[in-house]
Amino acid sequence: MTAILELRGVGKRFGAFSALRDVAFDVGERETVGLIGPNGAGKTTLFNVITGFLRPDEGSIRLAGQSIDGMAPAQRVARGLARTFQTAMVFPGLTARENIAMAVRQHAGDGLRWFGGARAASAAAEIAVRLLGDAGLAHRAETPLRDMSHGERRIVDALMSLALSPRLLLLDEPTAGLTRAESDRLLGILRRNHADTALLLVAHDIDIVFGHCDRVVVMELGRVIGSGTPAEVREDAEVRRAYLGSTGG
Amino acid sequence: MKRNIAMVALPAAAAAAAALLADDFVLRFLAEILLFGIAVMSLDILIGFGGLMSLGHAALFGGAAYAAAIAARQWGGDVALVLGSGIATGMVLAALMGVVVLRSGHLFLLILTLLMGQMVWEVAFHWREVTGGADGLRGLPALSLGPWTLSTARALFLLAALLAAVAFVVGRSFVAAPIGRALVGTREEPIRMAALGYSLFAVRFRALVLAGALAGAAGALFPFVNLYVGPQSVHWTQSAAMVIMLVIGGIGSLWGAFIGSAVYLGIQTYLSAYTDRWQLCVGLVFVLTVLLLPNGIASGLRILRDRLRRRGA
Repeated sequence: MTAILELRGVGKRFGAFSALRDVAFDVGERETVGLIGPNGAGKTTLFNVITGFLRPDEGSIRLAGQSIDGMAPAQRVARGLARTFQTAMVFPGLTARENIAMAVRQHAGDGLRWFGGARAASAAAEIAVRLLGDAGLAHRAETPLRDMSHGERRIVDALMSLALSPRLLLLDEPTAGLTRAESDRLLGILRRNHADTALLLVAHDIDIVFGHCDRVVVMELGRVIGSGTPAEVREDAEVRRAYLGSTGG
Repeated sequence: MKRNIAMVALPAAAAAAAALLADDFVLRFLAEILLFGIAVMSLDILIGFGGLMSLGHAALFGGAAYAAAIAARQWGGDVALVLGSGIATGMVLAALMGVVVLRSGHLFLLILTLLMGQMVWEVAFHWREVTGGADGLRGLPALSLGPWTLSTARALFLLAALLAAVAFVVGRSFVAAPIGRALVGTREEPIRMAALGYSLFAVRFRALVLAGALAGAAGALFPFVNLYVGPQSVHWTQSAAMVIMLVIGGIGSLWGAFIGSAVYLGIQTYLSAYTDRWQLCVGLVFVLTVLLLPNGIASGLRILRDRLRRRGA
């Protein structure tokens, strides 16, 4: 398996507090990896470090075999790395179509276009409507995001990232606040239509992670304490003590 | 389609009527409204669409006015030269400002733009040999377009009206294009924009340079309409006046900028004949606008139009 993401010895401190310590694992191409751990384990900090929103104090990160250390978030996106945020980070005043079209235009290299912008805009709008249609939200295309339900906003949020056709998509608790049916629908959209995209997924719902992921990485207090297939992780004694034990998993 | 025709025909008819009926004083006053309207509209692109609050916009407008006046004294009043030097100056000043200020936001952006503007004011105020210092520059040659001399109030008004029309079309096409949508995105959710791969700096820098070009074009004609350019035109209080014009006219509408500048300059010009306290009246209009029409007179007119339409339907 070729790795799309390779983390080696990644560390991040905030003052005296070590948020990440010697984090190392890989995500393979087209693989779905779950990242679990109790609150404060460093999952979101790790996402911020991988995507360039935070600068790590040590370690190296490679995307598709190339170092992305020191790159700005936008440069990492251009290399195929996309993410979502813990809360749906959308443009509330814009319609669902326009939210997704914003991503499509950037991906097509038309994001900053002025001259000839009308053609680029209508092409992007078309793709946005198709993506919404695939997700069963075609009827909501013209609705501003602020008027949509939490679940719908989550789906539009994920579609925005998918519109970038990323090689690796980092999803930070995409299913938080969703019903089980909505969660399954969201993950179904991700896997069904975008099989070439590798996913690194943070979720608190163990059933979601174990049900949808090829591999699971477990973190506690900034360290990786275990990784493997869902079955292996379930049996790992340290993981059970740190995390699963408390949920009865 | 009907709406587009009305949008072109109404202002064109109003400009033609003014050119035929108004006297020289009113024509120069209307030209001044249009030029300030263009500058305020360019500020609307920054504040209304980009959420970039600037207190240094007069430096772009006034800096271009100085550049155009100096160029005209040196090489004559050819319109292309005057507009070209004003636009180039506005863009260069905006680009310099952008490099310094655009990595900060909110209060810091406000203070940095104010400081950058005041640096331009310092240059204008103290570089006597070139800018005339506190006295400013007078005695400019008349503007010319090929064989024609554009020295009458009517010609200057028509030139300002033409420039306003072009500036409005340029501004509208910018905000409607992907770059304009991206600018709105950086205002609404900058972190998400970065996560989508947009460079916030690249988006904002383009908007600022465009705003500099528009304000520069307007500033270039200003000394010829006003027959004078002085350091007050680059002072931060002039920038603040532009923000007030924008709020009164309506943030985020582009055309509200022209209404705001008409109201402000109307009060300044006509009320100041009766009382020194005309700014009190500006303040009152400002407060009433904020309280009753938070999105400015433009939004009030839009609401009125929709009501009339509904009644007609």
